[in-house]
Amino acid sequence: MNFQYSRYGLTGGEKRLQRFLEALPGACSWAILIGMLGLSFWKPVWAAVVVIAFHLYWLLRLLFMTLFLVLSYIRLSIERETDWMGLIRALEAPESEIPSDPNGGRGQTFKRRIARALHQQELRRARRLTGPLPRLGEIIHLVIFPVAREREEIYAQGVESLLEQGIPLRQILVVLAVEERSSAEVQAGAARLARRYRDRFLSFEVVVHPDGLPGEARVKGANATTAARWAADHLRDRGIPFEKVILSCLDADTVLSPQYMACLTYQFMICPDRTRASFQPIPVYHNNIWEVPGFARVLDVGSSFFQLVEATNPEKLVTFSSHSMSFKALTEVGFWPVDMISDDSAIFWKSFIFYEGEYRVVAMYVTVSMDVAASRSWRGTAVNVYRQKRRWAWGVENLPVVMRAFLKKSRIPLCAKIRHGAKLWEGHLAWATWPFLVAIIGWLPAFFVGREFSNSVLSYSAPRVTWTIFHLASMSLAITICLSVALLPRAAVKRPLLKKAWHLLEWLLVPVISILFSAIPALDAQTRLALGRRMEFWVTEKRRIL
Amino acid sequence: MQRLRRFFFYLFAATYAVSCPLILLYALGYAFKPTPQLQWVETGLIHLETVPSGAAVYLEGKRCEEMTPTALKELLPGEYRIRLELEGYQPWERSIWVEAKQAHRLDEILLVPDRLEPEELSSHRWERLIPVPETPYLLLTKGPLLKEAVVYDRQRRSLHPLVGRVSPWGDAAILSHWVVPESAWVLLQVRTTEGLRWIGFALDEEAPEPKDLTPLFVHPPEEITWSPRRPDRLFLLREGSLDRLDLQEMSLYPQLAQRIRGCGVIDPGELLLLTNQGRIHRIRHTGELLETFFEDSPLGRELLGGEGRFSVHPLSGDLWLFLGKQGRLLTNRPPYQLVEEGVRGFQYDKRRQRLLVWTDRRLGMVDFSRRKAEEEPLEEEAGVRWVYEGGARIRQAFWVYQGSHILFQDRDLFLLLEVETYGNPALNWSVPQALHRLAEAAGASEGSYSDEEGTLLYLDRSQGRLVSIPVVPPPVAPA
Repeated sequence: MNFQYSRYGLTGGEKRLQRFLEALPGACSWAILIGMLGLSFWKPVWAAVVVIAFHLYWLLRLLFMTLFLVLSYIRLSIERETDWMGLIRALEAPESEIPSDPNGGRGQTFKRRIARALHQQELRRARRLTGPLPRLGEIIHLVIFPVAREREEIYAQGVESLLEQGIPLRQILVVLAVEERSSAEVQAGAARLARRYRDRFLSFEVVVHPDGLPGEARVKGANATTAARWAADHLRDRGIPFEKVILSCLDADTVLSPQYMACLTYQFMICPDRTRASFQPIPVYHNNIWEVPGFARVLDVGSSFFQLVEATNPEKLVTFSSHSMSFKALTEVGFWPVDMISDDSAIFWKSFIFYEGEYRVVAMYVTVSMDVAASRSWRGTAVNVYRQKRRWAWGVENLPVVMRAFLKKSRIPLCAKIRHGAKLWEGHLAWATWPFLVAIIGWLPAFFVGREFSNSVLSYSAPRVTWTIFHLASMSLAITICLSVALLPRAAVKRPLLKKAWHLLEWLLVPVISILFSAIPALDAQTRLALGRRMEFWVTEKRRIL
Repeated sequence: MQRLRRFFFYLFAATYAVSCPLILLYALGYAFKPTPQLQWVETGLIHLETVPSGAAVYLEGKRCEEMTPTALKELLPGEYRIRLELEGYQPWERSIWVEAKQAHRLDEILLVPDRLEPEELSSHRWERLIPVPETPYLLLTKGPLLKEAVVYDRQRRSLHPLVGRVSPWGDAAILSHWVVPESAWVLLQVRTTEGLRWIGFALDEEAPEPKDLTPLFVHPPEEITWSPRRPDRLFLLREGSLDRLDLQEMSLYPQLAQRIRGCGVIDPGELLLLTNQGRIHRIRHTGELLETFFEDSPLGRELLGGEGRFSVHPLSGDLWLFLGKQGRLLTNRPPYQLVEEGVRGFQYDKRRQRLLVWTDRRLGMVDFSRRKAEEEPLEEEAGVRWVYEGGARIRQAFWVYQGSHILFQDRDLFLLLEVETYGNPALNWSVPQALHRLAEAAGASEGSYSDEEGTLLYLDRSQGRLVSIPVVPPPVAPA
């Protein structure tokens, strides 16, 4: 579908529609909050009824998400022990199944039996694909690290994690995409790193993104696009077909798990439409998780959990943060938007629209680790975290563009439009309003109660129903807390167990954290979009003890 | 995983679709009655909380499983007889008319013990008890002399003499006393061999030393008041003139204001003055005029009459009472006059914004929270609801247990009146059911009640000993 994925360069009715759709999410969020406030004040009975219905819905959603969080976590822990290279070899061997012990003699535990069953199914399905499967030796990995202000030590760890991948390093092309406006120190660091590792990989290049190109905003997508264009020329010169190239665009602080590339390669090989697919890992924030204040830790573990749950629903999965995709698809859709901040999700939508719904995201149960947005002080960390969450919430800028595309005639199936559209709307509205509704506004009818309401059965029952719902919801919290302890790495401190135990108590701050660092940033972003105020890209400060 | 997710999605969606309306109907007071025919019926509930808790509940004569505190739910509209029984306590019984979708909250039911055993606090025989309201102190006297007076501290449960054995004030005879609620300062007029004297005591001192203030009292005042937070600043009203005494400097500041018919302290630095012209001034303690109310002085004159003194009582920032010598009670809120004559005293519950008023024969309540909220029209008559009209000589009254009951002294009897359910059309409140006799006091003596402790101190009739009875059963402490 020929559609300009941008909010700029529009005229007439399209421009008005774009503006209207930009205002709508913020208007809806504020309408919900103010509406409930007003209803609680003027019609507390109605408000109490709405609150009960909402709390019940919230509880069931929570329990639903918790169920799939547990299942997803179990899958993650199973896949941690999968020998992906063994699976690749099994794929390439013409007649064999998975070796009886693909994990190198580590025995048949319950998890491995499940993994084996899962992967045997996948192998059979892959073999039924028409057309030959690409071979490991043919696949090239293009890894781009966009760099703006990060110090060399930050992205060096990401580069070094590439050295520990199971696949041959000669199949990895690394590009550091450096902004022209970066300081001399940053540019020198990039050059140093390139010199150090050039001989280890297929190639290791530094591509400088010129500043102030027409039509571009100061966004990561513009920087990455320049690097990708350079890579396209480079690969073309080497005669490497794009359909055999997997692109991984990684944030500068990303450290890949040792299994990442092998898992990615395997998933690419068995994917039916591999040139129309993105591959989304599970992001965790373990690089400096124990060096940050508790609220930041809770928030980012929560983000990882959200992605774990999303991974169980690939039909509606959207790319986020560091991820991979077919380089052929990237070139066909015209690379990343160069005027949008949320390049990670925008590229999915751009591809989805370009291919008229024939585009998917494959969930990979392998982790990529990044930094929590920390700073020197507690206050500085709070500011950084707030700004980062607001930037994530700025993903709402995709909503009006996607809606405009959906409103046009295309071959995107109506059910796909409804599915994705509803999820987009509900997701952003819930992000900005639910913490307020649950923690504060839900209690207001009792606060503003008049004599008439205070003598009603409803005024007696409503708080009790709400308390019962909250008690049931606390089960979900308890499960989440247990999983968070299991997910976190061992703390490199004197008393790691004590640190983890303390982390359990940090979760009690969730009602406050979710308002201050989730709902308010989301409301902030939506309000800015509604008012037509752009957000300059602010590279999140990352601070890590190295 | 996709199929599993779809399955659970539909399962949860169906759960919500079924459970949400059911829960909402339950919350609104609907119940499903399978007999005589399948139908949803509107119900009400009764919430019962007693002090002490754990009372057995009887509904229409049948024992319920629950004990208090509890709620009797899914009651079809109609009249129900509720009876609460707890061993050692008098049964509590009421008829309650339950309406659909209405909750009747009876949250402050005080169970009265079968037998109230007074606890002896002092074995001496006392002649008189003088309460110092809203403080832990009270004065006890055996006779007219100062050396026969002691201070009782409720918190420490200790007695100590008002003056030392060798004090030169010991033989002074007490003529009058002045106290202010919440103030531990007591002012006494005494007669000594040298004539009339004025002395003050700070009862919160370990061994209160009498402070001779006689040089400051040039003329006997008609009225004396002070702020509990600044007892070193006294304000005296005499023949329409307001004087200030500074006890630290031992100075008299005469005639801060003139042609005054009443004054009341708002806070340590400000006073309200009622002028002869019917205006109300707010002034600083130095006499500086800050604000004038009731500019329409004809209205003020009409309300307050042409003559006579009023005591002025600021109850809160914007609520004042004016009590005339004949017992006329007025307020600064429409319709202004509460009681035409006969008021002996009042007590204000700040939290609930309710005023308790009594005359010799009647006890009444004024609900100021409702009056402000509903903006009653100017023409409406006084909002005193007389809850008891069978008194002979009501001397004092107190709010008890978050304003749900009134403890009052009628002549020498202490009585407890339940008023939580008064005025509720669903409950057939009546004095015989709501009134309990608690104790008999000695002769002319008053009692001292503390709602924090829930206990009444008085001099028992038979021997004049200082005794205590629990009005609010322990261990529950009232707010």
